[in-house]
Amino acid sequence: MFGSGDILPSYLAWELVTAVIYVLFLVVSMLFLFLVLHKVRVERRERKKNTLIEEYRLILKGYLDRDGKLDLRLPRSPLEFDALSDVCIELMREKRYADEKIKEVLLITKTVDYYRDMSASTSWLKRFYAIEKLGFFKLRDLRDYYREILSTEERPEVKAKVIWALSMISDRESLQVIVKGLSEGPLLSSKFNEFIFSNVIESLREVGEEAAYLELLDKIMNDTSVNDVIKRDMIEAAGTAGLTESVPLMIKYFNQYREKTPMRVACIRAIGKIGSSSGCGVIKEGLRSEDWLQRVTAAKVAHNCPDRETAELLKPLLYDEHYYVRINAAKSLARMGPRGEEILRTEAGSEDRFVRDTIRYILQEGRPVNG
Amino acid sequence: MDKDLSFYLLIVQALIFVYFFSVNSTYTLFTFLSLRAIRRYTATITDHHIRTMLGGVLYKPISIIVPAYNEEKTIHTTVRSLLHLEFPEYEIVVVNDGSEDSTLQSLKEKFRLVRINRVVRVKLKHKPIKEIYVSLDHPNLIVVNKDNGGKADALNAGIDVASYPLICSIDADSVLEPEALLRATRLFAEDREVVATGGIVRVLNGCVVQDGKVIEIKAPKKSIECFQAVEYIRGFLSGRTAWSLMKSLLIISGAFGVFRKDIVQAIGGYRDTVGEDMDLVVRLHRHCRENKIPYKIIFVPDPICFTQVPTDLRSLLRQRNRWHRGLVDSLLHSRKMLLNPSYGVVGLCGFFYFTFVEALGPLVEFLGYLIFILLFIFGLLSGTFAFLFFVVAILWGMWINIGSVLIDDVLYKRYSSLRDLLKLCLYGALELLGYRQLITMERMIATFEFWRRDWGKQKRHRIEET
Repeated sequence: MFGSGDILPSYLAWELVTAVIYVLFLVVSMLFLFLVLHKVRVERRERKKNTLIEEYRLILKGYLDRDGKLDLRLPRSPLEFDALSDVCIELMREKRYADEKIKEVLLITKTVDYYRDMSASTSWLKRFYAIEKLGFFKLRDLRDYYREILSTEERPEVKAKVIWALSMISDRESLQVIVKGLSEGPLLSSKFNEFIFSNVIESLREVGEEAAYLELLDKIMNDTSVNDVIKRDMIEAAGTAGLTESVPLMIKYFNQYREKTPMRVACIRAIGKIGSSSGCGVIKEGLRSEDWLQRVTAAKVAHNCPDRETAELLKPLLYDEHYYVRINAAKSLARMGPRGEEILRTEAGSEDRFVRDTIRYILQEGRPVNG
Repeated sequence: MDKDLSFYLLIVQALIFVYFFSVNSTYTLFTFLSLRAIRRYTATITDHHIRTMLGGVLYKPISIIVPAYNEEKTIHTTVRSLLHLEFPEYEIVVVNDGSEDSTLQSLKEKFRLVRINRVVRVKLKHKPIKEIYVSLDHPNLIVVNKDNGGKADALNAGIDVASYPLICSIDADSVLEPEALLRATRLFAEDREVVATGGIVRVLNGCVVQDGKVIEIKAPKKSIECFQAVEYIRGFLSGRTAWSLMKSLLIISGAFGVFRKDIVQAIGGYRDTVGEDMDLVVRLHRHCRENKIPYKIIFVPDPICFTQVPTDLRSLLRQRNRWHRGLVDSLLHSRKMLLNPSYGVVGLCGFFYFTFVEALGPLVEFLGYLIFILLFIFGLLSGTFAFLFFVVAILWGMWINIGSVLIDDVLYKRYSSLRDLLKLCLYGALELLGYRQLITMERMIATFEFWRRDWGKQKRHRIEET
């Protein structure tokens, strides 16, 4: 009998169950108490932080608007530093005030020192948090500090954060460190790399040093120590940032990497984003390619080269075996103006039903057909 | 009573006790694991970081697919909430799955839809698409009208119409937080191996909704809704976080999940089953493991989707019956994964757990109650011992429930009122006094009806807005 000695000796069963009940009761009571106290504390903290944010916002806006003396009590507690840094980051994002003045506030109030100290913490979560805050401050003086951290930091999450922080204040030397850091570590996603290199380009542009980006891209073209993925993402970023000067380099890459579809696709896409006519040769070669990925990418951006040759190259692509090539070829022709539309109208009578439907859709896209 | 029979009953009951302790210990362990994982997660994802995604290139465009069948009461609020999302590039594809009410008509009127002749590449199996509409006011709102074919069918049609590389499936009675998409898709942009992410689903009942946005989170009013609110918090915060940590997440809720479109197309889209959400995730694991594709399926704890839960017992039992049938069907469909080392930790742990605890659990639990009563009737169980054991079960359940509510408060602080938290704790304590047994019974019945494909008529309520 359960609890009477058949399975377990009765005294053992009783004592075990009673002990378990005591322990569970204690744990549940403590959890409950902790929940209540935590809730009260957290709500109070939240209210205090909101009040601080309001207060700092008012003071800083007054200071930045009137250009007078900064009448601000120096922050002391972590909550005060958090609130002040949040307000500064928010004001920098608004772009209404000069970044330099906000940075000056961060230095005067020792907020930068506070987060620098935190970035040396033994807890990687604290280091991560501190680097993120410092990154948003965009202080160019911290470049050397970030480079130093990169050489010693082992945690990949923190490393990625430092690379991000460095990308926003990048110079010639930092760019090399970033490329090395991204190549050495576990490969991050292409989107992340593109994001980092877009930040780098923006940062270099601010100081008129975009040439450094192109020089490095040229230098690493044959460097096998740099992963091709990184090179490809640098090209994508150049396209996204509209770096017109990079087109000759992209053509060079396109010709060099004949066997590597992803690289050639990146070059076509970047040239397409920039929209430079000097890259039309690459786009036309993409349209002629046997590789459907190159054809589809080139078809997507071919409207940037609205000449007769491109239009003629797009025409057979309306019958391509790949759906995406067909539809993009049709879209590009529609965007090319009268020359493209003329081809579409001729082909609208095609025997191929799919071509007919695609063209009809493209010619009517966005226009209400019936209610 | 026959001596042999009583011996066997005692042995079975002892095994059921072992089962009870193992399952509760696993839940307790999950609570600790989840607390650690979510704490780490929330510490590394700040609001500032999320905001940078809005202005930069660190995102992938997404198509939100909303299957709608007789959703005239809720569809406007859902679509309006989706139109308010903060995301740089997205489209909403509402699939009207042959509704018999005025779902399509009201969408046409509210969002000024016009018909377009769009060419769709049909890659997945679904009923024919009759018409495609686009909104004149919101060019990123597309409405697909098709013959009725069920939820999976509607989702497949939506995927075929979708233009972007990521797809997000959400229920027509759900409301997303404005930043939910940014948070749910962030990992796709940052990690090349992520193929699917699921966000947390919370109970909408009781919350204050204004202009398609949840502006105040409150505990529901009715008891039946409160029980479900606790269940959702526990299920998502403890369960799914822990499974995600162990790389064995087998469920991403149909109410809110984000997937890579190419990989969903590669496995043939959604399968026609009542548990299409779980089935898709299980097949994603299978496909990636079989083809040696490096992949990650992750539960992300901060993108929030609010969903309406049943407000009456009948609808609730019908829903749980359907969920359980879906679970059993998915497991049966991919049964070769069970304890199969070639599927790694998914086959050895996740699939094993879902089979023996989630699918067969209700049966074991019901058997436990039955034998407990039999042993008591036949005088083989001490009444006081039975009572004390019952107290243990309740206290342990309370620990797990209050622990989950605590995680929720420590990390999200969503319920601003202490009263709401206490209310949830109370229902967490009361859950084992009847509610759990009712759900167990229904799930046990569903275990024997797994071949049924019907959804049952669902009762929808208008989302109350202030």
